[in-house]
Amino acid sequence: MLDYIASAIIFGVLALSVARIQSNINATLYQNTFTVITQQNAVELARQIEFDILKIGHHVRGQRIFYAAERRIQYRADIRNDMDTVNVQYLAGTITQGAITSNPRDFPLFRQEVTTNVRQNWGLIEFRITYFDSNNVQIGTPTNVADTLVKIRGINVKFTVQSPEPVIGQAGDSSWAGVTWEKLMYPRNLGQLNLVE
Amino acid sequence: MGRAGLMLVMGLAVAFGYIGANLRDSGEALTVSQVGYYKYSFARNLARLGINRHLRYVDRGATPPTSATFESGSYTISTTSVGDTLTIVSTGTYAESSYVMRAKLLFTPKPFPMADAAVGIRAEPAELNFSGKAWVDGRNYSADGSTLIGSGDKPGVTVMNATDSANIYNSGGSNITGSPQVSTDASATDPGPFIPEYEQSAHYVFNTPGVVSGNYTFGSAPNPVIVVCNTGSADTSFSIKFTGDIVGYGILAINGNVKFGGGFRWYGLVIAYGMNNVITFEAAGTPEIVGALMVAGNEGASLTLRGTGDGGKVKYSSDALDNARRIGRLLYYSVIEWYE
Repeated sequence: MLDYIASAIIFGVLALSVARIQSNINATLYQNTFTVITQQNAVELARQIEFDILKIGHHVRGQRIFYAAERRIQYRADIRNDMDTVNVQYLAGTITQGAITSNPRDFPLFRQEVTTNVRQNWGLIEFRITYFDSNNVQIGTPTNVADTLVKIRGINVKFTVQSPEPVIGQAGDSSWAGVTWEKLMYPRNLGQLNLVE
Repeated sequence: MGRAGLMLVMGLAVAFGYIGANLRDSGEALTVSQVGYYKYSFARNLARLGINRHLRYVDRGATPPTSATFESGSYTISTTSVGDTLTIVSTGTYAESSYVMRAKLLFTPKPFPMADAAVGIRAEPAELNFSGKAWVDGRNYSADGSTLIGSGDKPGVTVMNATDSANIYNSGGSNITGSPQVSTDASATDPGPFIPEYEQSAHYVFNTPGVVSGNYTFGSAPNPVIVVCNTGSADTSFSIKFTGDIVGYGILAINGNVKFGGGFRWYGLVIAYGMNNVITFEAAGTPEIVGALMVAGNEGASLTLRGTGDGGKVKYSSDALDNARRIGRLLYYSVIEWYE
């Protein structure tokens, strides 16, 4: 009889241990999964921004940037090098627009090319653009003044992406996987001669 | 009971194995994501490195390499040149990632002393002496001096004031051909301020008086050069004498007394920038300057053209001058397109 009781206790302890281990492993799995998703989102967004920003003014004669603000930039470029210049706009949305996820701080990013406006849910919680002239002096924003915009030579983009769902820790606390990316870019077609429309 | 325990242990082992595999996969995915971005960035940086390195070679007038390796990556460069425009396509490769970057450059000649005559004298007062058979012809010749174009003719000689114009007209006489033979142009460009850059950028420099033997070919029509002959102009008894045949394309800057003892043909611009300049064509045959000859604006500077053989000719040629403007070291480029 004692053997049965002892074995039942040991089984219970084992079962609890396994359950705890499984819980921890699940948390780690979630954490890893969200970290992967967040990192992949950050990488994809970084590549997209580098691809787009570095082409500002390509094949454009005349004004290249039309609006510059911390959360919005509007410019013209031949994005695909096919002699077709198009208007492109990046606009960071609001937290209200990002209410679809569990993350209370994230907001969508809107990328508009000509009339096609694409909502991108990267899990952004920070998106900030700053602008610099040829002396690396920061240019005040927001502005749509052509004489100010023509001075832009460098564009710094900083963003932070977080996971859309929280990672529940061992203590039942929730945290968010996050990646911050920042880069100062010098679009070479700003301030250069451009002889082709 | 023993069998049940065994089943339980095996079940747990399978569950832990599955969970472990998932953990490993997610860790691997993290690495793949990070390394993928690194490879992409490195390939792009290599492509950019290729273009920037190419531009530095262009700056120096050297021939750029078409490929290079760096830190296990590589880049290749291909170029297409159409007129004044150079398109550079650079492909950076790292691991399985590659990135193509394109840049288009416009080459523009730096400001150039534009000759408005076969012989343009910017010195004031000026002195141009003809000795023997030396002729000046302001009619517009082809780049090789063989044929008359029929348009764009210039005066034989231009000077800065009417007094010099009359004096040179009298001394030159029938040695000067042009429309008119001698004219006054006070607004003409002084080549003097260009000399320091030409001295700095010269491909060939002769600055020791004496005899230079052997035949020389300086540059070519598509690849003109700068040659500086500087004997110092204070004492014309010092001279540089070329005894062989000389053929040159581009800019020849002369300070002092220079004698061409052999055959001499220069296609482009000859600038006399000293105070007492004597250019002597000694040889038999037809020594020629096809392009223009200019005297820098040193006050009281003189130029003596001597033709002791069958005659030396200075023929105006707008085409030869245009070629001379395109000396590689006197071109600057502008980036007109950059796609990355």
